[in-house]
Amino acid sequence: MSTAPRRFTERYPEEGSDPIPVERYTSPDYFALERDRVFRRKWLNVGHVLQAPKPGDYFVQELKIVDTSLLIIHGKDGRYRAFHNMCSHRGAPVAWDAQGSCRGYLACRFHGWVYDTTGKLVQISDAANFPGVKAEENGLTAVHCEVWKGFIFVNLAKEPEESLLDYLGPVADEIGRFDFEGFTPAFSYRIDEAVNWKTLQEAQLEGWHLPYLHEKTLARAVKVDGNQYRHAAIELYGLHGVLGSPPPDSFTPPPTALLASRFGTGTVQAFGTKTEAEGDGYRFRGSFDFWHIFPNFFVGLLNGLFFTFNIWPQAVDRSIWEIKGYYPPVKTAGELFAREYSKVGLRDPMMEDCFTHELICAQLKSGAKSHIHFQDEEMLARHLGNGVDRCVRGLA
Amino acid sequence: MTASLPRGFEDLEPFLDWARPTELERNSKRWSATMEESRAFYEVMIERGGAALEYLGGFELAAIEGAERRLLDLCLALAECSATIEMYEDPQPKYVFPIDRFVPTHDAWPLAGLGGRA
Ligand code: FES
Ligand SMILES: [Fe+2]
Repeated sequence: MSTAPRRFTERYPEEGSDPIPVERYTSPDYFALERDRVFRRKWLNVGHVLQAPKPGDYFVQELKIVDTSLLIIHGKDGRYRAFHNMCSHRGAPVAWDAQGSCRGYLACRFHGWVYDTTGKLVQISDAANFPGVKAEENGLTAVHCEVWKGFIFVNLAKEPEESLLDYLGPVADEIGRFDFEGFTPAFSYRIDEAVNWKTLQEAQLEGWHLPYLHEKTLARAVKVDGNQYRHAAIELYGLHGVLGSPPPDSFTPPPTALLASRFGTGTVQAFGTKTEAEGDGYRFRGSFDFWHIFPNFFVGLLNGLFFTFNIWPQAVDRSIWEIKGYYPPVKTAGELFAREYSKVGLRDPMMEDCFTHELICAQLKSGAKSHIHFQDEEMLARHLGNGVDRCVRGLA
Repeated sequence: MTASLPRGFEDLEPFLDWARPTELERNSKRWSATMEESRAFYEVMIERGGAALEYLGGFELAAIEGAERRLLDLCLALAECSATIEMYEDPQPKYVFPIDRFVPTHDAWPLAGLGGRA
């Protein structure tokens, strides 16, 4: 039996069904508006507390779209804070490495001004020669920073329009039921691509392409209904949303998956089975659920692992895709093998996605088409563009 | 001279070139191998992988080195090679982004220890 067409369009009529102007992907003016009305205003995920697990640990996140780089530091008092990574003396970066650890103080390498982990300037080198400069007025410039379920968010507005929890809305309760305890960083990738940041995300915002583009890789691990992929669920929550991927009717694990499952979990088999919620636990819509947190963050939830994407616009036609996977810690060679197999199984399909990104971006510039199209199963991709456009037009 | 593989796994000696310590290197071996080489490696590892991982289970993961490390790297190479055999049926599938642009940054991770590099 096949799923009725247009089920999401009928549930979410406000999202419309019109073609999408190509200009949104190619216009530098539109990109400038996205910067000011999306990225300078909305809560942005910059990483996870596991990137700076101990007090004194820190990492640096480039935010090229708003011309800054942020220093995220785990304070001696246990709090996470974010600052522009910029010394108050003459503007050198305070942290020069992408990540590191300090004993409670960071010294600028240029002339040695020293800051503590709360951003306070605690020492001006050669202070007598800076008679008018007051330490208490020259701490690091803070950026609003809040942590939710281990995910670190920043907001670049002078005063955020809402708290992080209000921003996440019902999404916080839904994802919050997933048990995020006991995971450890297992892999990370960084891909610098000549593609618009929305085109990059759109391939992750619909599963409909799985039987086509991922014919050799993921197609076997999803249900095909008639001839087409049909999401187990698409739900919209304000600017955010979720996709559920339907498990196939039957799944025959290949020999390597069988070997992996003798020693550990987290294999691609996780794709093949739907997990039922127990008690207050997370309610899976499909065999895996893919949450999109507006504007550029994804949390993928599977049974026994989760992964995240951060997509950072660099220019209208350039973006960085950061991928991070979190698994239970491995203690044995067999568990490591199972994790490696799982990782390759997730990685290769994403490399297939990347292959399309730059080609699409280059072709959209041709001017040959003024519009592109999204169908019902591409509702979440449409929803991203709509959300951005509403921000750009001052409606969200 | 130390043996290149632990005793009992001498039959895997012909495949030592697959034993590479990072994901980047294992992936590059996967892409440069022929279909015949890939199939030969895959078949022997599917056969012997269980015994290898059981044997390695007797060692503390972070301390594995030398001959045992090479055996572990052979097992990890199976994860790469399985894509050639079980998915693409081609060691150099078309339309896949190159891994030198899909940069595994965990190759430098200290926090995940061996798992990070592997
Ligand atoms: S720029 Fe930092 S001390 Fe001079
Ligand atoms: Fe994809």
